Amino acid sequence: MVDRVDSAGEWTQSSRFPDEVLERVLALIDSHKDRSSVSLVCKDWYNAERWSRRHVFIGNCYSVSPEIVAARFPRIRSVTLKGKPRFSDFNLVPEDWGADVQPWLSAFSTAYPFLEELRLKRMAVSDESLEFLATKFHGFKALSLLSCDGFSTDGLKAIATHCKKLTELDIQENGIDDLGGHWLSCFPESLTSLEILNFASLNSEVSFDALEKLVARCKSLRVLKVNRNISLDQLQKLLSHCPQLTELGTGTFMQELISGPVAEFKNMFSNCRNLITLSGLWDATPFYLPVIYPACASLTFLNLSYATLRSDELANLLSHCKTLRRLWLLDTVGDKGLEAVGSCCPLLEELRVFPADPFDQEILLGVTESGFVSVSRGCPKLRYVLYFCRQMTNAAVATIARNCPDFTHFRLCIMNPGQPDYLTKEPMDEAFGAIVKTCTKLQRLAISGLLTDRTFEYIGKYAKNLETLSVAFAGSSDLGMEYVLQGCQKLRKLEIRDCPFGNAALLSGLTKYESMRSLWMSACNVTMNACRVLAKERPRLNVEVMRDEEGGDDSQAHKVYVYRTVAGPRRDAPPFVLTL
Amino acid sequence: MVLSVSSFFAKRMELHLSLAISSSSSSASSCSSRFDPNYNINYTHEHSNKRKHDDYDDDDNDQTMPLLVWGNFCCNKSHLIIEEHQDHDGDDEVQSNYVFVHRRNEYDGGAIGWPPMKSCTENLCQLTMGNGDGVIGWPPVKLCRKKHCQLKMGTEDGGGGGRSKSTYYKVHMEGIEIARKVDLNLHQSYQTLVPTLANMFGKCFEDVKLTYQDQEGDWLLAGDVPWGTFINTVQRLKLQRK
Repeated sequence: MVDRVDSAGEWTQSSRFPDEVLERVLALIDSHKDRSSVSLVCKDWYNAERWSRRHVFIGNCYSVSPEIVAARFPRIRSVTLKGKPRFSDFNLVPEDWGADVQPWLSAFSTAYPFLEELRLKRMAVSDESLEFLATKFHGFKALSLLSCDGFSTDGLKAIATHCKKLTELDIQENGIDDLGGHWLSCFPESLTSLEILNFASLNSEVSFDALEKLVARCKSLRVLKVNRNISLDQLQKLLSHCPQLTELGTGTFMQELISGPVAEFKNMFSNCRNLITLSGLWDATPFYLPVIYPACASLTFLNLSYATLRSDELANLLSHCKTLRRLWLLDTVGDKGLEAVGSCCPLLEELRVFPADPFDQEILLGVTESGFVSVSRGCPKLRYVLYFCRQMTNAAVATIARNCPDFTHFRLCIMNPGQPDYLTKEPMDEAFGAIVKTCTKLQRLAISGLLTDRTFEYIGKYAKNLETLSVAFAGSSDLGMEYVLQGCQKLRKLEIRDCPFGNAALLSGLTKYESMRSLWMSACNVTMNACRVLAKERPRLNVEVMRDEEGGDDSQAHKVYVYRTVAGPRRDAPPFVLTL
Repeated sequence: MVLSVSSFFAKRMELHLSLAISSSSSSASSCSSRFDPNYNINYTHEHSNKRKHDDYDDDDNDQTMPLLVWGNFCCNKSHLIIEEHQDHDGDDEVQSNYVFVHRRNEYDGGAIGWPPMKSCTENLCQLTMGNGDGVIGWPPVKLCRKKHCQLKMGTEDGGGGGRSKSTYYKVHMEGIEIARKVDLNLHQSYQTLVPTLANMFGKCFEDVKLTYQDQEGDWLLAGDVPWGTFINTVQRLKLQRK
């Protein structure tokens, strides 16, 4: 502590640490929210923070420019960048919309030549960009691409060939051109540093020989997720080389020709004592599934969302998985399967149930409210749920809320738009009312079913911690959206499609949008004029309207995307995106 | 004038047979720029195989019913009508009522909440969006999972099946020598398949019926079995004049 006299002549005790000490201390702070707070304290702290920051998280690539980032943070080693609005996952955003990573790479090649990690979500990534990344950043270690598009396996070749210190290659759920599996053979013999390899979502065959040798020489490998083309035989060989794995994604779990007795496969997992995550399991059948039982006792995350299991098969499996915290399923397991979840997995915190046949309305299978209730009874620690179903009742959801008051993420998708409570025929307002009233920690909510403005009234009144809200085919009037904008103080992301919210609703959030990351409104009742008003009143927002490709009424704003930015209007907007 | 989606939904309980929707309803709102003609609002499966409700018979007047919305019936529909079309499949427990709402050109007035449609032959290709789903992007299932569903439904191509692979089936049209091929991977329902096929041969889908040959070599009328079953057994397709 140093005593000093300030400008008013008063003695003050100020903790004026030397900058280096402050930087050392601040270097220990990881959370970017905390770092933001730190940087607001005073100029010294702002500077210390910016020099000590190693990782920057950019939730919307258009909210800031690469130049601004590079100017503020001189010593970044790791970047996370998110691009397109989330509804692009469901084909609501046309191709060539933007979010190209290249301008960022170009800026980083001069500002951060020692960049080590890049994590991209919903960005447009070309093969040229991947080659640029591989060749310009010599110490590059970790690449993670989630829901990106625009590249092919040629780009992966470049990464494999040039990144001599690669520790992580994680490719998930991307729309990529699969030109063959030769990229994997491009890893040089000298590369032994790989810790994470995930190519589960790529479809082409890779050279098993190259893969086996790679796995054998990378002694630090802890995450391996292969694609469906890897057979059980091959998986067994791989596992013999890396028993230290903590996360495994299998290939296909079915084999027409049995090359060895099943008993031989039974030992496949016995040596994997560190396994906590298991996924893949394509085509898993009761015949081979027991092979994984030895690994089940220590599993905390089991992803069965590509295995079409029936209820009894699931029940048998889960009886071995008492320590599960996260479980992903297909709805083929039915309500009975979910009963098994409730009775076997008391520690469960996250459940996701995906639809096996989302588009076949003639199928009357899947899960219902009853399965959800069963899980809630047995798993009081549930905090994250994603649930696709074809019927639901208000009473069931109220029960679920009572059983699991700790929900932080509640995403319910009743697959037929505008469907009411199937027993009482009433809107599903009370269901979501119960959720927001009871689950005070709720951060993320996705609603569905027949919903009036009352749902939004409840949300605005009770969901005080809500940060993300997804709305589709809901509401009766502008009031709905207004309730939410007025009431949810912590709201950051609001995405709306096919709702009767109009100009009054849009403009009611005039003063709010700058405190949010973004707003998406498509197929609502918003006009171009209202968007122009918003743009004029709030110059620090980008108000973008996407033109309807089929023509139609030009005075209507068919798709509106509003986000705060310090970078001004986009300079790379395609012709169909109008920035007002 | 078009109805807002919400008031449309509010009216669903009142939708009875042969009810003409007035063109002068509610607020002017065009609620979806991308509503596909095959937008299927399926309110309830109260007649599900798993449950028998006591009120099955009591509910006749107030039954919510699946609503199959066809995009422009090109042909001679000059006003908006709703027809009920009852479909009994031998099983007493399952009864579907299909209600067809004919959309029509906005400029004549009276389309319910949907954007203007031109004649069916023109627009059909545009209307079969992306994967030939119902409403675009609904249910919100990511592409990688959708592809997995498609692969499961019998169009398996041995563990491969990247984006560039597809499953083409031959289609003949009665009276036309040259056959066509269609990629069944792009479709999830008969509602998109039949118009697409009809369009290939320059016909309106109202004028054709679709038949297919199954694995046993028999020719069957398409539409009798659920889509998933159809996909698993179809070998080739044939359109016949009605």
